[in-house]
Parts: sequence; structure tokens; C-alpha cells
Amino acid sequence: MFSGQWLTKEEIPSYIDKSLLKQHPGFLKRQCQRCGNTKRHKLAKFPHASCQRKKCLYCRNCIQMGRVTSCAPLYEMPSSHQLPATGTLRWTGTLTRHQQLAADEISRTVTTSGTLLVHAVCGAGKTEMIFPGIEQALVEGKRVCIATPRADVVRELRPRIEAAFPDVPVAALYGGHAKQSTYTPIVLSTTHQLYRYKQAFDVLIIDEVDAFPFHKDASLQWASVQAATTTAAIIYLTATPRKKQKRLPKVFVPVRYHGHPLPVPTFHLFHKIKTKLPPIEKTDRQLLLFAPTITRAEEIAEELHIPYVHSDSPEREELIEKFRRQHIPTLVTTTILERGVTFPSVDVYVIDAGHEVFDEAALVQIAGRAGRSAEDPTGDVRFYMEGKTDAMVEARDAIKRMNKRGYTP
Amino acid sequence: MKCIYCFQPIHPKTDWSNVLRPAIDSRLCEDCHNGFEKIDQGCPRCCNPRYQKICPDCDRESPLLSNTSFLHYNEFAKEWITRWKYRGDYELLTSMSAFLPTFVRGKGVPVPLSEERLDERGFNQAEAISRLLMKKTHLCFGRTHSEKQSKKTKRERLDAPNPFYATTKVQGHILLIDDIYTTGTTMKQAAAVLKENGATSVRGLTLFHS
Repeated sequence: MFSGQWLTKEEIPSYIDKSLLKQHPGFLKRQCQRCGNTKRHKLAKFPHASCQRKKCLYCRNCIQMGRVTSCAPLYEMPSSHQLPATGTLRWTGTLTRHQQLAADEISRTVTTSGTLLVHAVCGAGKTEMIFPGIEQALVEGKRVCIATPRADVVRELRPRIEAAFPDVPVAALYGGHAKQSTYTPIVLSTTHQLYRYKQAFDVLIIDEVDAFPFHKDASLQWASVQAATTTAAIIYLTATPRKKQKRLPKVFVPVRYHGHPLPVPTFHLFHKIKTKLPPIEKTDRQLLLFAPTITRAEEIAEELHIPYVHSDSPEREELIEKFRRQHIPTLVTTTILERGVTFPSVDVYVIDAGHEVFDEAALVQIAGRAGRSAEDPTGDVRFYMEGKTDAMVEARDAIKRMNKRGYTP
Repeated sequence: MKCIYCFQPIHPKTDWSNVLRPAIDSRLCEDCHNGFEKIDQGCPRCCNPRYQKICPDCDRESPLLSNTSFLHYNEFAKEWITRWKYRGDYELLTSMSAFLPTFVRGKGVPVPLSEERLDERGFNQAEAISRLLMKKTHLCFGRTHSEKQSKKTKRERLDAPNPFYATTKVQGHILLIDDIYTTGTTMKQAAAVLKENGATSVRGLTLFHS
């Protein structure tokens, strides 16, 4: 049930004999052994009643999953490996030539337990490319985890994976839905939930590896290393690799699955001092408006009388689902929808594209939301701005470069 | 400096009120600070924010003379309490110093926890508050193990037998300290036990009032 998980003393159910489990110290050299946190403002001391010490060190970074203290050990549930799963891939689509190349490379990495970075443009069909690799892992009796920094991406991945592998039990873990009740060969999870695992996965696929907060948070990267076994295959997927990640063995997919080029963003000037909002014309496509901050999103939504979503909005899942089913024509969002989500046919406008939250990677990802379906492979991507920033120019150049690489033989 | 609750950096503002003397440091960022609501006016005896006059609960004779609470138990406070008390993030309590008075009268007596609960939680939340308020805390009575108050209904709370028992004699004016005042049952039961053991008067102090 807890196969391959870290457990604190309080979490262990009474029917499990504690003395049989492998114990690890909670802290080594002021570093939390579950999340790798060493930051001073995320560590604190308290008078612990159980150990009678006046100053017992504990970790505030991963406290949502139970308190790790310096006085109590962390228990490691051994990873129980079951027989190779009988379920097979039921996905019937075909991969394009470029996808097939990447998929072969992924399968090879799974068998040889290597590391691989898959650099595929937005809308290249990354999820489909990993299907053969997952099947390969299941046949070999390996446990697979697909982790991503965004909960929305987990929610979107789940039905697709379940449809592709209907006989294999799948667990989806994200904040609020984090309890794994039975052993499953496939685990979908946010990178935060990887804190719970210790030496659990033989294949770890990290989707959108460059996304906030994963690429900046050292403790999340520590967690991903801890969650995989020492001989695990680690596969990173992204459309916008950071400099540090470019050194890894890499496979590049420059074309979208439908073969059409990426829509190139256009720049439009508008002055906030004159008008609050740029003129927004109605087209027959749905419109996704990106705002830099929650307050700005709220402002735009009020001005146009349309709904908006942000990371704390209560009806976030519901609104995104409605937008996906085309019940809502226009939606305002913060950067939460910048990546990993697919809407069939949308135009994308970025308001205040010069804001610092829109860095090059974010803008490339946002532009990649348009024209994702084969029926409507184009889309209007507009950056509304008060002045060009380096990020905007670099994003446009990167998109042009990728188009060039994909369409010149 | 980082906010103790959301870990975002705090940008302190400088204006005429703090140019000479630093403002009281709450260790919370502005957004988190504004998440809490202060109780401005409430029942004069128990600080119940839903009433302006004496509330029906306080009309009856009770061993608890009065109670002071400082904050509304709103959604933000609920999340804060979950992390502090149930997850056990002890350090969070220092963020409360901005809402609490610097000086209180009376002998501080925290409401005790049963030994089982103390072992599970690792610390007594009431004792933590009293340590924040004053130097000396008096531990003079104990508690038998029962279901958490927060899991019971009002009827069940009132019908339950008094879980407190005295261990030593007390005297003088007592300030009974706890984290949340909901129906007041816990406070009143504890006050009754303290009175039987020689307390002259018992007043209450809690962080939140729901």
C-alpha cells in the first residue's frame, strides 16, 4: 500500500511492525532527508514533548506531508515489485516520422536505464511519444512515474493515459488528492508529491521540466532524485529547455504532429495611459487572454465581463473544463495555463507582454497554445505591449528558428 | 526577510510612522497579515463577534468570568490553524505577536492536553501561546483522553463529562489560555475545576473566536 514511500512515525498504521522497516535519520547536517531542504528560513526548532528536548529541529518545507524532526527516524517502506503488468497499449493512433524517432529513443533509454532530454516543440505530441516507452517499461515489470510541476497538467494527462492503458491501474496524485491507496504500476504526480517517495520508480518521466517551480527549487530536484531508484531511467520532456539542461543527451522534435508550422507571434503596441485594454475583436475561434498578475486578470475580466482563472480560484477546474468544451468563448488566465494544456482551436493574446513573468520560455509556451489541432492548425498569437523586451524578441526568434529547422530538409 | 507563512519576500515600507522606530515585526507579508480579521466589537463577556450585546451563551451563570479573543476564525485562520496545530509547524506562532497584547494580567494557565494527544502532536498549543505572552506558565491540572473537541457537535460537547482533573492547588487570579473559543465548553469546564481548587477568579484568553 505504501510501497516505496517515506513514512513518519505518526503515519505508520498500527498493523505494520516498525522495527522491520528501514530507518533513516530525519536530518543529516541540518538537511531534511525527505525534501533536501537546507534553507534557514524553512527550518525551525520547537520544544518537543515526545523527545523532551527544548530545541528539536524540524523541517517547515515539507511539513504538509507530516513533520520530519531531528529526533525521530524516517521509515522507508520497501518497494514491492509485482509481476509484469498484463495490460498493453490500446492506443491506436500512429506516430509521425519525427515522433517515431523520439519514441524509439525513449524506449531505448527505458531499457538501458539512461537519461534523456526530449526537446519537442509545443504541440509535437509529447504524450503520445512516451506511450511506447511506458509499454516497454510495463513489459519489463518496471514502475513508471510521470511527474510534472503543474497540477492542471496531471489532471489533463490522467484521462489520456487511462485511455491508452485501460487495463493498467493508474494513480493521480496532486495537492488535495495525494493518498495512494493501492500499488499502481503507473503513477501520475506533481513534482511536490515526489517528496513522499523513496527509491520507488524505475522509470521517471518529468514533463515540462523547465516549468516553475521545479527548475528553480533545489528541493524539488532533490525529491525527484530520491524518488527514482539508483538505476532508474530518467526522461525529461520540454519545449523550452533551460541552458543547464541542454548538456543532457538529447532528442529534438522540431515539427508539430500535424506537420504545420508553429504560429509566429505578432507584436502590437498599446498604451495603458490611453486605454486600459487593447481593442479585442471577436473571431470565430475561442480566445485565451493571458495576464501577468492575478489583479490584472481580475481587472480585465471585470472590464469585459468574462470569467478568469488563477492559481487560487475555487472554480478553476470547472472553468477550464468548460472552456475546453467550448461553453465559454473567452477566458482570462494567469500563467497557470501557459503549458501542458490543450484547447482545440484558440487565439492567444498576451496583455502586458513586457511584464517580467513572461520570460522567453513562458512566451514560447503561450504561443504554443494556438493551432494545436489538425483541423485548425493556425491561430492568431498577439503580444500586446508598451515596448519590446528581450524576452519577446527571443521568443519570436526561437519560434522562427524551430520552424526553420522543421521545414528545411 | 521572508514571510513566515507563504515564504514570499517581504518588502518593508518606510513612512513617517516607522522612520524613527521600527514597526512591530509580525513576520508576515502584507497579504498574509490582511488575511486575518481582528475582532473589533463583540459580546462584552466572551468576545463573540456575532453579537454586540451580551450573547445568549453568556447570559447563564458560568465559572469563567470573561474571555478575550483577538481574531475571527475565518477561512484563512482555519488554514493557518491546520498548518500550525495539526501539521505541527510550531514556528508559525511567532506571527501572532503582532495581534497579541504586550502585557496581560493574571497567572497564565494553558489548557492542558491529554498525554496521548500531546505525544501525537508533539507540543501543547495553549502552552505555546502562553509562552509567547508571558515568561512563567503554570501547569496545575491535567486532562483525560477523549475525542477532539473540533470533531464533536455542540450537543455532544455539552453532554460530555468534564475531562479535567486538578493536580495541585492554585490561588489568585487566573488567566486561562487556549487557541480557539468555539462554544466555550472547554474553557468553562477547565474554569470550574480551577475554581474548585482555590482560584479567586478565572478569565480566558484565546487567539480565535468562531
